Amino acid sequence: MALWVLSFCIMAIEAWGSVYFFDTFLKKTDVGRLGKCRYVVLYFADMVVALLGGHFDLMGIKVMLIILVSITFCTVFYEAGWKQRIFFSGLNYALLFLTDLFFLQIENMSISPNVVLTFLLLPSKMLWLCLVFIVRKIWKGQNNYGELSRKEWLKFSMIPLLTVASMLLMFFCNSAEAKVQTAYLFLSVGLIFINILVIELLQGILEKEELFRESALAGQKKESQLAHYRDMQAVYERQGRKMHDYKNQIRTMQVLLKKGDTQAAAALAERLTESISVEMAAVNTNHPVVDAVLNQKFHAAREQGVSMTFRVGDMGGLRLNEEETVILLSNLLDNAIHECVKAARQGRKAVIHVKLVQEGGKLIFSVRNPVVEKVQVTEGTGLSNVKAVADKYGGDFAVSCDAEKFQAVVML
Amino acid sequence: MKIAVCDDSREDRGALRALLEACGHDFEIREYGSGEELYADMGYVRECGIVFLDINMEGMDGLEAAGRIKAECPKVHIVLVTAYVNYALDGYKVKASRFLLKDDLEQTLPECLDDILREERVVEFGFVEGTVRLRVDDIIYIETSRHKNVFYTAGETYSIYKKMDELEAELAGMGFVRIHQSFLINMRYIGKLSSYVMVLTTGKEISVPKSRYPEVKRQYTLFKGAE
Repeated sequence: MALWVLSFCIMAIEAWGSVYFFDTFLKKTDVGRLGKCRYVVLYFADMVVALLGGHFDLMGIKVMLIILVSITFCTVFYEAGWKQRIFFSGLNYALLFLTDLFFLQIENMSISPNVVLTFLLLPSKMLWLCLVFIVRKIWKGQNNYGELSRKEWLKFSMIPLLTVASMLLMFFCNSAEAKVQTAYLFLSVGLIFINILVIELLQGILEKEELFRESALAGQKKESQLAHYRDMQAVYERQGRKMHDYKNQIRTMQVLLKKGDTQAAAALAERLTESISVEMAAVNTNHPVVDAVLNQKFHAAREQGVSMTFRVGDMGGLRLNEEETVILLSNLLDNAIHECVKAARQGRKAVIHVKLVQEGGKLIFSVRNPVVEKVQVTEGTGLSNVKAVADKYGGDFAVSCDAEKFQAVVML
Repeated sequence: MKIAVCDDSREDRGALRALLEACGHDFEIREYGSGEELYADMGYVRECGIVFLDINMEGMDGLEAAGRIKAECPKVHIVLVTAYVNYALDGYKVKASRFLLKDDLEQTLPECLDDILREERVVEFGFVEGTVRLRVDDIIYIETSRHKNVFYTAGETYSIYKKMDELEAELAGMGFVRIHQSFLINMRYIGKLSSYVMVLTTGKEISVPKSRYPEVKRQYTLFKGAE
């Protein structure tokens, strides 16, 4: 009876601790009411595994089943890629198994073989919980897991998985010799530290990736601003030259009017008006930053023989800050202009379709342009910065590319 | 398709007509020299698929004409043609489909027409109820029911003995998304998509399986960008 109660307590501690561990690293999925029963779901899943494990009585199968249950649990209750699910499930189980093994070695070394210290299972769970709390303390909430490549995740996953394999080996190759048991004890402690160090290492790498991305973002912002100021300077210089021309044109009109040639003067005035209007800002969206960027890109595109069509709405209520607006618009339009220039060189139509509207409470920004060949859509600095802005506002960012056209859409 | 071209410059009207005729579609084109002249012929305008309007006209300018036309014929596509794009905002207020620059028309007009014509596509199927031609825009969703697939439109339902995979292939590129083994949804009618539930503009709620959700969301985002 006491054994049953002990088993119940231990499995409850394991379920609670595992959920606490996964909550540290992974973002929860909204599964409605089921989310509130996570602990119960994991508890019963572990219980089923324990009973099955008892039936098979093979340690290796038990271990595989437990890790599989953890992975399945993460699939249902957390938003995580398969690489993260395998890594954190393996890591959680590695720490759990290591603490059990640690206390098993202590039990083997210090007590007579006829006495079984079942109650040592509880302190081992307490130690495991302490490790989980320490891990929670170490982890500063990084979750930019996408920054790591599949290869890097594989390398990180080797450590907990090899730890589990080593522990299985120690378990099956157990010996009564004190030397061997002492070695296993130190090995268990060493492996605990190594697995915690893996978490530290992972965190360090993710922090550095984040810093690198922010630095690239800052650099890009600076470049965008410089390009903007250079463009404004070009506009002022052009306007200065035009002013000089207009003065001459107005003098000519005065001469025509003095001569009485009103028709010629009127025709000249009309041409002058048209010329002035074209030189002024082209796009109006009721937002100064959006207007500045769109106008800058519009003129830059035209100078390179690239056309643009617009579907724009009132951006007066845009909730993005200046930096985010520039990042969103500049990155996608620069890519589009770059591809259109290549298309124009091949004699193809080079038209960029820009849509920037508020529809159904959502901001939709879309850029569509031709390409000369299918572009491999990897998230270079530009697209990853756009995605970061979309993610910040809980929006969506989608890209599609075929042999003829490229489309990028941000919906916030 | 019937098209109206309204511009106070005969030269510009002629240039636009030439470009439209060169596009290879079967258009009936009428020209108007002012907004008043266009508005006076609302009988034809109501039958039009597209109305090209120059913004800068004396008297009733293109924006005012666009506003009046949209009020009476909300389904007609208005394309504002201008020398100055800084009317873009005002143009959107009258729900213009596109803004095109006059000196760029040769480049921009064909794609603008393709985008608009895509919305007017018609499909024909041999239903249980008989052969029916349907505007793609009128199909809300298709659902598998027993051994048939049922087309739901605003007014009617039509049943067909065809596999959903075949229907998905036939309607590819027309704004439909397969959210489920049994559902093919016209993305124009998606009102809300979040937390694995799709709510159509008709109020119908459909669960989206977790495995398909990222791809459905992606396709919907791309659709909203292209719409």
